[in-house]
Amino acid sequence: MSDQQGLTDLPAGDTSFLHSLLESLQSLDWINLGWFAGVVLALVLLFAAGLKVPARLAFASRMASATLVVAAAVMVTILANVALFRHDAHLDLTHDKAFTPSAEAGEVVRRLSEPIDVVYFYQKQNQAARALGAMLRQLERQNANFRVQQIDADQNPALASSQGVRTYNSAVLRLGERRVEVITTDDREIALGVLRLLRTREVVICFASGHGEYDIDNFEFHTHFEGAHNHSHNVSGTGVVQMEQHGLGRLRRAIEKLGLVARKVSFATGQPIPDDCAAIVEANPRTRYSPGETDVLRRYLERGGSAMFLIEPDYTLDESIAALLAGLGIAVRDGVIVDPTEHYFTDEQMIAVSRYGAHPATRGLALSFYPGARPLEILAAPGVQVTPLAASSGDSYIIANRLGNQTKAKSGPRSSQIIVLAAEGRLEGSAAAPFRMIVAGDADFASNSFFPYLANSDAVLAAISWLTREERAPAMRPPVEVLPTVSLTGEQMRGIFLVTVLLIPGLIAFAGSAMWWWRR
Amino acid sequence: MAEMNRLAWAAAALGATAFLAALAFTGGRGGPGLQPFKPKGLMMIPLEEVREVDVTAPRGHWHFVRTPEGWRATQGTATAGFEARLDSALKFLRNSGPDRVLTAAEVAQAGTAQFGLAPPRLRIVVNGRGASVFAISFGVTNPMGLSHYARLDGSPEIALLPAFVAEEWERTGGTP
Repeated sequence: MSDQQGLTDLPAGDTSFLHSLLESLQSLDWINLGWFAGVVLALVLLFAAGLKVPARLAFASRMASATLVVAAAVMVTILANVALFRHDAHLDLTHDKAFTPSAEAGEVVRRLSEPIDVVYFYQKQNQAARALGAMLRQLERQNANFRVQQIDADQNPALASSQGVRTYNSAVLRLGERRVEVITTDDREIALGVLRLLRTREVVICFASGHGEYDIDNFEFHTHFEGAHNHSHNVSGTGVVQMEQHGLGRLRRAIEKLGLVARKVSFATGQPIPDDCAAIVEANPRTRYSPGETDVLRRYLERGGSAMFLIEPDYTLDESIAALLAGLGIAVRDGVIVDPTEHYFTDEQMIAVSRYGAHPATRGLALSFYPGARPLEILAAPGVQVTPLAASSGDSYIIANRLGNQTKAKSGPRSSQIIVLAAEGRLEGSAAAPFRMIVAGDADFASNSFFPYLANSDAVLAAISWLTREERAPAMRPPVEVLPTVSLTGEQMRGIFLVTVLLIPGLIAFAGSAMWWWRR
Repeated sequence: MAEMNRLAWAAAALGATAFLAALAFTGGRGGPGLQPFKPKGLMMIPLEEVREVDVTAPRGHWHFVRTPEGWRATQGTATAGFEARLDSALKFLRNSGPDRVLTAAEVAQAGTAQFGLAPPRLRIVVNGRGASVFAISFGVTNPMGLSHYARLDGSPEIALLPAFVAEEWERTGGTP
C-alpha cells in the first residue's frame, strides 16, 4: 500500500506503466523461477555437451555403448522432470492475473497456523471454477496447513450430498468441528471464509438507531454525473441527491463477510448498551440526543467500550453529547471544509485524503475521499490520547453557508482541517477499562454510495478493526458489488453531444431540405 | 429520348431488386432464428415411428402400444389423457439433450454405485419401426437436483439429462 501512495506522485501514464510492471514482478515466484531457469540451463548445457563430446564410449561392444548413452539420456530426462515438478514456477501472463491468487488471500493462507481442510465442489465445465481450482492449488503450496481437495460435484453426487452441498462451486472449509461453506469462484471469498472459520468469538457491531441514522438494512445508493457544476452535495443538490435513501447495507454486508455480526441498538429506551457490543457505530444521527441517552453512551465508554461517530456538517450536536466528546478530547466544529487542492474530481467539497496520521487504523491506507465534511478539533483531555487520522490540505478553508457568498471565506486564512480522529484512554481517572473512539466529520464516505470506491471501505473496516481491538488480524477487504461505469472526459462528452444532438439531426434536416429543393 | 430514359431507370430498378433478392437468398450466414431445429436427445427414433413403449417404475409396470386409433395401454392402468403425457415424454426424450456426459473413465473413477442406476429409478424401452429399440435407465438426481443421471443400455457413459425429462416419464408411468 505504501508503494501505491508513492506512485500517486507520478504522472498518470508513468504510474500505470510502473504499477503494472511492479505488479507483474511482485506476482512472480522468484525462488521457484530460479529453480526452473536452473533446470532449463542444465538441460541446455547437457545438450551442448552432447554435441561437443563424442557419444561413443570406450566399450568393446558398440551396442553396450549405445545402450549406456540412451539410459543416461532417459535418466537425465526423468531427473529434469522430477526437478521441475518439485520446483514448479507459476507464470500468469494474463492481463488481470486471472489465475493468480490475490495478495490478501495469499497473506491469509501464509499466516495459517492451524490445519484447514478445503473441499471445493465444482463443475468441470465451468471455466471460472477451474481457475479458482488452480489458485487453490497455488495457495496450498504456500502453507501445509491449507489442505485442498477438489471434487467434481456431478461426478461424485454421494460425496457432495454427504457434505450437504446443493450448489456448484461450493467450498466447504473445516477446522476441527467448525464448518463454513462459501459459494464462489473468487479466491478472496475463500480467504474471507478462512477468516470466519478462524474466528473463535462472536464480535458484534452495534449500529445505533432511533435518531434517523443510516439504516444497515438499506442498500440504496445514488449515481452521480460528475462535472464542474452538476455534482453537488450541498443544498442546491438536494433535488437530485436523496440523502435519506442512503444506507449502510454495503458496510453491513462487508462486516458480515468478515465474520462479524451486525445488530441495531436503540438509545431511546434508556437501557444500557449490551456488553456484547464490541463497538457501536452512530452513523449520521438526524435528531438530537437527550441527556439520558448521552448518559447511556457515557456509561458504555466508561466500561471500556468502543464507538464510532460519523457526523454530517448540517447536524447540530446537543450540549450533552458535545460535553461528552469534549471530555474525550474532541470538538466538532460547524461549517463545511473546502479544499481547492486535494479533492475528488471537480468538487472542492469532496475532500481527498492520501496521507494519514500514524495510527493502527490507518496503516497501509490508500486514497479515500469524504464528500462534504465538517472540521474537528483536538481539545486537552487528561488521560486521553487523541490522534488525527485524516485531514484536508493546508490550502483548505471553511465556509459556513454553502449557498452564501464565499468570497470572504476564500480570501480568509487557510489551514489543514481535521476530518477524522481517534481517541483512546480512560474517560475518568477511576474508569475500569480504556475506551476507544473514532469521530469523523462526515458520514457519507461510509454510505452505500461511496463505500466501495477508492479506499473508503478500507478506511471504514480498518477503523472497525481497531475499535474491536483486532487491528493485528489479517486485513481483508470483502469484494463489494459495484455497477460497471464508463468515465468520460469533458472533451469526450462534448464530442458525443456534438455528434448525437447537433450533427446527426442536422444532417437529416439538411437531407430533407435538399430533397424538397430538388423536387421543387 | 424520354421513353429511353424511363426504360433505363426501370431496368436499373429491376437490376437492383434482382441484386437484393440474390443477396437475400444466398450467403453463408444464417441468423440463430433461421437455423432449423435439430433434436439433441439421446433417442434417435423419430416420434412418428415409435410403436411400443415400456415403462418400469417402483410403483408399477406399464406397456403402451400405438394403434391406428391412438395409444393403448396393454399393461398397467391408464387414466384419461395419458396419451398426451406419453407424447410429451417421448418428445422430451427425443429433443432434450444431456447437460453433460460423464465419460467411461470418469464413471469408473467415481464408481457407479452413487448414480442410483443399479437398480434404476426408472426404465424406459422404446420400440420403433422395424427392429429399432431404445432403452434408457434413469438414476438419482445430481447434487443440485437439476438433472438425472441416465444410462443407455450397453453404454459405459452416463448422461445428465434435465430433470423434467424423467419427471414427465414418472407422471406418465405414475398414472394409476
